[in-house]
Amino acid sequence: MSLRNSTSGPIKTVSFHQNWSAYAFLAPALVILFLSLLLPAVATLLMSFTDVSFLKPTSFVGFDNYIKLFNDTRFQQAVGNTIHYTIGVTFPTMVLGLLAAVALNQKVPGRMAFRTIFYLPVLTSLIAAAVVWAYVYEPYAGPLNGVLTRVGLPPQPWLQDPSLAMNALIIMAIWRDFGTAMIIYLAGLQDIPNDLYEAARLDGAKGRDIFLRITVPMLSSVTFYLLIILIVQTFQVFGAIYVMTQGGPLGSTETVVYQMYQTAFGYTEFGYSAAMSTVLFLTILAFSIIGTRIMRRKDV
Amino acid sequence: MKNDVMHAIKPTRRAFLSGTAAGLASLPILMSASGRALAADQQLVFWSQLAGSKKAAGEALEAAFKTARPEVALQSSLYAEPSQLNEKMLTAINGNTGPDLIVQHWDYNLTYASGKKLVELGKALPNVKTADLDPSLLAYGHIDGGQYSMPLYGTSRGLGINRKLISEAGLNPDKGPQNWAELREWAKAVTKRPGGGMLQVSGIQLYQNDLEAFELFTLLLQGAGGSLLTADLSAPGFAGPEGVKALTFLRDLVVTDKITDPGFGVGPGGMANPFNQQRAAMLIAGNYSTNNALKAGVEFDVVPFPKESGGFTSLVDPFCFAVRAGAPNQEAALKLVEFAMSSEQQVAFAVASKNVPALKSAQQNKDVQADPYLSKFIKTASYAPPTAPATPVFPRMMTLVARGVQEVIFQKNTPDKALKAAADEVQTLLKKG
Repeated sequence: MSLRNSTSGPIKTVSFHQNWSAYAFLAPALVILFLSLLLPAVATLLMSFTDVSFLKPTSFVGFDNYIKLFNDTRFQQAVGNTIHYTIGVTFPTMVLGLLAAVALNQKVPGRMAFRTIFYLPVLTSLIAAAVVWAYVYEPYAGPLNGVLTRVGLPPQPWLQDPSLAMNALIIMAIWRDFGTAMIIYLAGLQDIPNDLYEAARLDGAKGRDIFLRITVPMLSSVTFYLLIILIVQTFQVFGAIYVMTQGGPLGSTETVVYQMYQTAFGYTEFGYSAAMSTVLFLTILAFSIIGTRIMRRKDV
Repeated sequence: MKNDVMHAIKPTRRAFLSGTAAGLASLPILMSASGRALAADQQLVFWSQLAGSKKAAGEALEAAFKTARPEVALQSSLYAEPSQLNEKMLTAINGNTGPDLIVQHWDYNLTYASGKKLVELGKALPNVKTADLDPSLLAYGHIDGGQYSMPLYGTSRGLGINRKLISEAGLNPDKGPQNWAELREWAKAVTKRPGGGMLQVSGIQLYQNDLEAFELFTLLLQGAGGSLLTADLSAPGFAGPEGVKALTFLRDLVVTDKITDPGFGVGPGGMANPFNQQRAAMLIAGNYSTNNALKAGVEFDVVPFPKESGGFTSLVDPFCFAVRAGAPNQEAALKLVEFAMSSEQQVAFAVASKNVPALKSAQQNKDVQADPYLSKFIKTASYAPPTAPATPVFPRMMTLVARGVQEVIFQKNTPDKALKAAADEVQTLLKKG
C-alpha cells in the first residue's frame, strides 16, 4: 500500500522487449521454481488419478482414489488425529506465547535471558528433541513419571496408551513452538503505540482491562498470522511421530502426513498417497485463503 | 553496435516463452542422457543396509570380494534401515537408475519382484545350489514361481530370557518352558508387581512396534497349529480357531494374569527397551537382541519358543541379495552374490555379524557353532516352518494383523472379531494382488 501511494504520476507499462534482460535474469529462478514447486504439485495432482506404484504399469483410475479415501476408516482416523493435534497445539501455543510475550515485554530482570531460553527449543533439532522427549516420557525410568511419583500421583504410560499418546506429542510440540509465538507476539507488542496505554490509564483502566481491550485487539493481525502459520505447520506434522510413536499405539498418533508416507513407501500405493496429499493441500490452501482474506479485511 | 545486436535478436514475449519451453523440454532429455552415461560405467553399484552389528561383516565381505575379483570396481553405499534403502530404491526405480545389486529385507524385495524389477536368480546363479541353502530362509525370496532374491543371512526368533531374573523366580533357565502352560507359569512367576500396583518387572516384554506384535502373534499362531496364509498363499489362514486360540492366550496373559501392561515396551527400543533395562524377564528375541542385552549387563540367553502342547516353533527373517532388472552390471552383481554364498564367506559373515548363515553347511561349521548365542539362534531357526508368507501384500498384512492384536490387548475388541476384520481386509488385498 505504501509503495502504491509513494509512486508519483501514472505508472508506465513497459513492453516486454524493453525489459527482456530482466526476464532473462529471472528465468533461472523461474525455471527452478517451476521444477521444484509447480511441477511436483501438478505431478502429484495427476498421480492422484492413477494407481501408480512405480513398480507396475500405471492405469488411470479417475476419482477412485478419492472415493476410497472418503470410505477409508484409517484415513478418517488420521484426519481426526491431525485435527486433534492441530487444535491441541495451535491454541495453547498461542496463549502461552502471548502470555510469555506480555511478561517479557515488561522491564523485568533477566528478560533477555528468558527470551533466549524460551526460544531455544525452536532452534533445537526436531529429531534430537524427539529422542529426548521419548526418554522424558519413558514410563518406568523417565523423569516425568519420576516427578509424578514423588508428588504421590500414579505414573502414566505416556506414549504407550492410545488415549494419552497424542496428548504427549502435543505437549512436546507446544514446548517447541511457543517460542516462535512469543517472538512474533513480542514484535507485535512493540508496534502498539504507547499513547493508547497512557490514555487508557488516564481513563482509569486497570491491567486486565488494558490487556483485554487494548493489547489483545491490537494484536489481532499478529494472532491471525500466527493462527494460519501454526495450522499449516501442525497439519503437516511428521518428524516427531516418525521418531516417537510411528503412528501407534493403535493408530492413535497416525496423522495424515505420516499415513501418506506409509502408504507411499510402505505399501507402494503412490497414487492413493497422492490423493491424500491433494486433499491435505486443498485443506491447507483453504485455511491460507481464509486467513489472508480476514487479514486483508483487517487492513493488515 | 550494441543496439544493432539487440535489434538483430528481436526479443519478443513469444520468442522468450518458446525458448524457455524448449529449454525445459530438453532438460529431461539431458538429465536422462547423463544418468544413463553415469550408470553405464563399469562400476558395480551395490546398495545395502549392512549397518550396525552387520557393518564389520559387510565391510569384510566387500574387502574379500575386491581381493578375489580385482577386475570388478565395487562401489557400495550403506543405508541404516531397510526403510531408508526402500525409499532410495523406489525413487531410483522410478528414475530408471539405481544400483546393480542390493541386500535388503525380504519383504521389500518381494515388492520389487512383483513389479518385475528384479532378475530371477534361480537360473542366473547356476553355481549356487539352492538345495544347499536353508529352505526356510530361501522361501522368503520365492514369488511367482521364481527365486527373485537370495538370502545372505537371516535372523531367527526364540524366547530371550534374563537368566538372573528367571533363576531368582526359582525356575531353571537351562530348560525353557516346554509348552504354553509352562510359558504362562514362567511369565506369572517372574512378573513383579508389588501390591498389584505398578509393574516393576514384566514377565514378557510383548512387543515394541507393529512388526514385533505381528511376529509374536505369528509364533503363537504356529504354536497352535495355524499359519498366516493358506498353502497357496491365496487366502488368510490366521483367523481360524488356531488364530483365535493364540490371541486369546495372549489376551489372557495381559488381562487376566497381568504379566505386563498393555503397551509396555512400545518405544524406541535398543538399549531403552525394558528387557535391556532388566524390567522384563523375557522377550521374543532375534540375533540382533544379543549385543544390546550383553552391553546392558543382562545375563542373556535364548531358548526355543514353545508350542501349545509341546515342541517348538520359530520364525526366520532373511536379508537377501537382489539384482535389479535392467542394471548395466548384472554380471558383476551375480559374481558378488556367488562369492558371498560360498562356504568360506558364509562362515565369515555369520561369525562377524552373529547372524544365521543361509548355507546349511555353514550353519554347522565349528567356528559358527563356537559362538554360544549364534549356535542357539541357529537351533531355533531349525524350528521355523519351511514356508513363508511371500506375498507382496505382506507389509499391509503385517500392519492389519498387528492392529488386530493390539486392539485385543487394549481390550478394544475380541480375538475372533479383530482377526476376522483383519482377515477380510487381507483377503481383499490378496485378491487385488
